[in-house]
Amino acid sequence: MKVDVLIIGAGGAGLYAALSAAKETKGLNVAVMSKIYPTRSHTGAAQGGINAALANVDPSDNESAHTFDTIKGSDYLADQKAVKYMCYEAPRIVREMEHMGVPFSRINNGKIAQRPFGGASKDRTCYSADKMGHVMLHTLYEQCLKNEVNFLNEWFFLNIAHDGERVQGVSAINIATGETQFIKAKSVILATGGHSRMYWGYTSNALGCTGDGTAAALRAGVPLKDMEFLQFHPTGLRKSAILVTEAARGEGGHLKNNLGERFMSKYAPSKMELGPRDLVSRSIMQEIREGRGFKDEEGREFVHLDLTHLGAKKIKERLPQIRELAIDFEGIDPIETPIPIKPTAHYAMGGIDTNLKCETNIEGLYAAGESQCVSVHGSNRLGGNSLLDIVVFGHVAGLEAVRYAEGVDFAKGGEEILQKDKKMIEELMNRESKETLGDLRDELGEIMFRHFGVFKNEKEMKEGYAKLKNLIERANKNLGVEDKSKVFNLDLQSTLEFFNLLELADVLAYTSLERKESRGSFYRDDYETRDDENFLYHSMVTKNSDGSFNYEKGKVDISMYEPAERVY
Amino acid sequence: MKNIKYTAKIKRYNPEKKESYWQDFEVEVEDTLTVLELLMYIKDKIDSTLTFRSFCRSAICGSCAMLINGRSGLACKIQAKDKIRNGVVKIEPLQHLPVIKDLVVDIDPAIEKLKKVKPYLEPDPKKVPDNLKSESLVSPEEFAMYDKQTDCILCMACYGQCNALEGDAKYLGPLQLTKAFRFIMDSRDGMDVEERINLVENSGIYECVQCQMCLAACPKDIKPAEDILGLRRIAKDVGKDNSATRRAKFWFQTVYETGQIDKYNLPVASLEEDGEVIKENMEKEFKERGLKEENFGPQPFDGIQDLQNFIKKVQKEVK
Repeated sequence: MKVDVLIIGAGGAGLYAALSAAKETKGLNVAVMSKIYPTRSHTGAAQGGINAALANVDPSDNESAHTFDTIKGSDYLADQKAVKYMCYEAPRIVREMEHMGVPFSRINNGKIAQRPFGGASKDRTCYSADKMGHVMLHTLYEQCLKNEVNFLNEWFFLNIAHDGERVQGVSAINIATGETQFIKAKSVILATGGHSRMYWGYTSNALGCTGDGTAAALRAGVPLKDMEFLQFHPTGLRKSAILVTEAARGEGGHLKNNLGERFMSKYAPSKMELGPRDLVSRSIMQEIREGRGFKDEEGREFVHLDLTHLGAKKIKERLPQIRELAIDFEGIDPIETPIPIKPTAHYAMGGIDTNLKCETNIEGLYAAGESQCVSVHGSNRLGGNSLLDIVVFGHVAGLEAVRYAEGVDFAKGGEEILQKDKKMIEELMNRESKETLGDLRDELGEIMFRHFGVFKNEKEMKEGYAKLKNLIERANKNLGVEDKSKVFNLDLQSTLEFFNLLELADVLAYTSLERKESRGSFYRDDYETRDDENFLYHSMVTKNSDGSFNYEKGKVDISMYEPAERVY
Repeated sequence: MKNIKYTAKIKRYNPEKKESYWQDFEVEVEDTLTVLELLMYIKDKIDSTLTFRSFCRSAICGSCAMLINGRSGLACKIQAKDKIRNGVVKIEPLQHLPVIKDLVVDIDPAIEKLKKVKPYLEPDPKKVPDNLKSESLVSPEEFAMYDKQTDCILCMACYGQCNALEGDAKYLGPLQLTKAFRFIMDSRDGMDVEERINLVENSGIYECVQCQMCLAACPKDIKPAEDILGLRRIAKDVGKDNSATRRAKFWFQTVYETGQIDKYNLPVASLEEDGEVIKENMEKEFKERGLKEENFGPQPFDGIQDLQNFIKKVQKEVK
């Protein structure tokens, strides 16, 4: 199979890239490959909104304030020109989506409604009740149907083929037939999402957020950037870790400990519940650590997110999905009862290293969305900036990939990666399982949450890394695929996803030990403060053929704002 | 939380042998499991070949719609213990779509039907700016006209429960018609309403039998059957002349004039020539019963004026 521009992943970044590419090209073939049906993508689970300084609600807002809030939120690890680009593009792209049909909630004068959000100095987050990601994803999909974008639905992407300079194509499994195939492409965009599933039972993410593209990039020799930065969202449901949007606090929800205190007054006296996510997550864990949390019969510890004072009308109108989730997954109605919540692994700031044009170190290979690290989020992403990031850089990647593909022929070769992939799959299929995927996955989640969680330190991380190495070794030896069939073999797919998670967890653990400071989402008890003198850099990791890592320090662009202390 | 014992009775399909069969899994699990968690438990602990789709596990991605005790729903949203009947929870793939393997169905046929309604905004140049300096203005009231319909997650639960599809595989389906309705109601849409109605007129809106099963099936509480009634209303308003709109007009007219439905003249008014047979049969039956000819149809009665005033008042308020 041959495709001129191949996009891997059909979330917001992939679909926006496809749309921009389809509109830009004069006759090139654009196709989107996705392991799931496009509208299942995890973009759809984003709830609260998308940031853009439209100034519809607060006329004093502007792009410059958005830029500064984002840089401050990133704890000064974001590249400032990249942030500026994203924030200045924001109003344009939000309006473009509105023109495509995205059903935004409205204020009385008919303009797009905006709400306050964590870490933002103004009411800037555009929303559609509490289902912004869902309506964006579906509208983008509708537009792709309109523009006759080709889809390869339910294909599982395996590896990138390149000749050392240029991309040649990718290998993938057609899930419906079980065939492993090579797809030749002039340009490839990785828009494969995040990898927070490495925190298995402790994450808000969908089951498939397994960093397939990021892991493949690592195997192809592309540097991964800032992998130690993984954000815990403050409010995951107690039992399932399913997300409760920041909008619940944006609309006035209170966080309370077992004494009924709004404890955020101690940690962020001015922003209170609307402090940035890293700070709020740490505050909740601190309350629990000091015995002011709640504990259920199963030993799960949590605090309360109290919406009861907002009243039924506001909850039904602005937070209908949150109410539905609380009823379905906690058995409580937030109109009457506070929601039991705990921090949940939510978003990977780190990922595939690209420049502002979404280019990687391999010609013709691009990345966009959560799998990409430009970096616009630095060490901590602000709520409402991820839906923005995916469409702004999805758009850029789509245009750049078309421009590149229009100027070149297909690169020769690449098919040979199939042999390696087929052999790897055959080995897994023939291996007798001595341990189960379910057990190993749970173990990975436990290691990551206990040793690389909200609070970290040298001793616990070292212990955790040893456990992780042992787990990787056992998986390589003991884990096989029990379902031997070809058609729709999701057992094989889940196993391959798990190996991707292991590869990325290895990088996360490694870079975490290297960073001896606390910055944004990355917090260490043994180095409690930010250390700009020694650690104001992007960690850049490539993998050697023997499995060891090369670690380099990438320069951070601080050309606009001098790093300062973050106070909220 | 406590452990409970029951049987998960699952309909399976092996595509390589083209073989369909039921399999019972005896489980002893926590009573708080959703049906999806039950399936994951079986896959992890008992039989890793059991195949089903799942992704978000929070009722927003729409991957895991299936038949649970004969009713479509999202496996991730439904508590397994609520579905135990005589110690058994019965799980099957969605109906009306080809089964690929076990609980996985091919949704492409339903997506092909969706494409027929042109499920996207055709921006109205009068409403949607041609530049990116501003947004279209939509009042909260205009937005409310299609807000609920945009909740659709394309899970196909309604499609799998639709009785009209039972009889007519060409019927578009509930979610497809809700999508058509959503774009007609969007004040930003510039496609001629009649053109949008033409897309659905002959493959759906009149075939719906209003059984309301789609309402019960929808995990997002959307009401496709009501949207279909909306489409019928719009078809009538744009002057569609077909048996259904003629029926609706005649129905209203006789109720307004006589306070009753004129069942005798309705078939001809609606079906024209094709209605003559029905009318003749009715005539025969009426005569056998000894009914006088002037009583075949309804007659106006005293006080009809009150009803007409009431109807006028309602019409005015609706406007």
